[in-house]
Amino acid sequence: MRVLKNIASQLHIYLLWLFAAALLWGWIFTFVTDTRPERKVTVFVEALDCRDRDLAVELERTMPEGIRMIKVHPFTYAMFDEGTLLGADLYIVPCSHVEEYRESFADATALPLAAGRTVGPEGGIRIYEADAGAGGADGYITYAPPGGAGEDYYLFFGVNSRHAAALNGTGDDAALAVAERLLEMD
Amino acid sequence: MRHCAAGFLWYNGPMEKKVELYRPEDVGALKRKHDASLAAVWMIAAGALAACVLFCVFTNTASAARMELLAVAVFAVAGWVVIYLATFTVAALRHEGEHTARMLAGERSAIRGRTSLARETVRIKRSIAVRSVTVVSGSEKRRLYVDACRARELERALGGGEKLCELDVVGGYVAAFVVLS
Repeated sequence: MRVLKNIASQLHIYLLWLFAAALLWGWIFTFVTDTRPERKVTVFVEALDCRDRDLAVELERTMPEGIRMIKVHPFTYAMFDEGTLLGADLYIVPCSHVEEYRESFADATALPLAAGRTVGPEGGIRIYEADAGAGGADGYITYAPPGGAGEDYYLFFGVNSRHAAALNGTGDDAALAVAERLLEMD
Repeated sequence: MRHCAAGFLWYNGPMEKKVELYRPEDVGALKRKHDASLAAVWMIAAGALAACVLFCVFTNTASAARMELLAVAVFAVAGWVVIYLATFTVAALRHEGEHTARMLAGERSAIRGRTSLARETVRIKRSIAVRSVTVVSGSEKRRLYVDACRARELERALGGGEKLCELDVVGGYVAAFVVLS
């Protein structure tokens, strides 16, 4: 009884401490779970739903050389941070939203990866075909509503990516390896 | 014959043994208790911090959310325990030790009268918890205090009621008492 009374007298301090703990460790973990841009590949996904953590874990199973981390950001995350949105290495966006991000995309038409695949607007490689209802990484990304047809989705490379040397001549080709996995993943 | 602070109430009947509420060895015992509880607080804080560092070290993409939640939970709960102990145990023991030292060093005066003890305990901010003692000598009524941790002996002696006592007082606090009737 006395203990409860003591706790009640300091309840505001305990609540403040909980709030501070959540803020502090949230901030610390943003650093713990991140690394330098040269050592990570960032994938931005604008789809109906995305199991971002599971997809990142799956992609990290076979990481390209020199890469320590693959980050997958769904639109709900990227909408609060324009830097993430504009600085991503790979983008998966629906056909109808391509115009919104067009200045962030590099034309992938000339890549060997695009050979034999459908290349869409702004040089994106089709990753989901609405008519067939199938696409790459569709076990992790929900492209179409249940029972609905949805629309085609395209995979783009970031124009400023440090991991698409075949496109912009800087850095390595890690984004190409990740893109290949995304296109072929179930 | 004893001199009485009230000056007019005299008692020559049988007296019980004088009960001393403060002993010199209490200061050392309280200091040891204080140091031990302070060490426990530091150990809890250091342990929680070490656990959180381990959570960071063993974080990967799959476990990041779980590890962050664990770190927040461990840090918050350990913090609550530390705040509680620091406020209600360590600080209380420090105040108790300081109070005991003051009581042992202070100059005593004797007060005689019908003595009763309040049931309620009041914690004085940044000091000890006390219970109020009322002493009535003729028409004069005095309010004294007794350390709540040491009030049990006085309570037992008074039997929950009022008795004629002679009290040794230091700075308004009861240091010793003897029941006269």
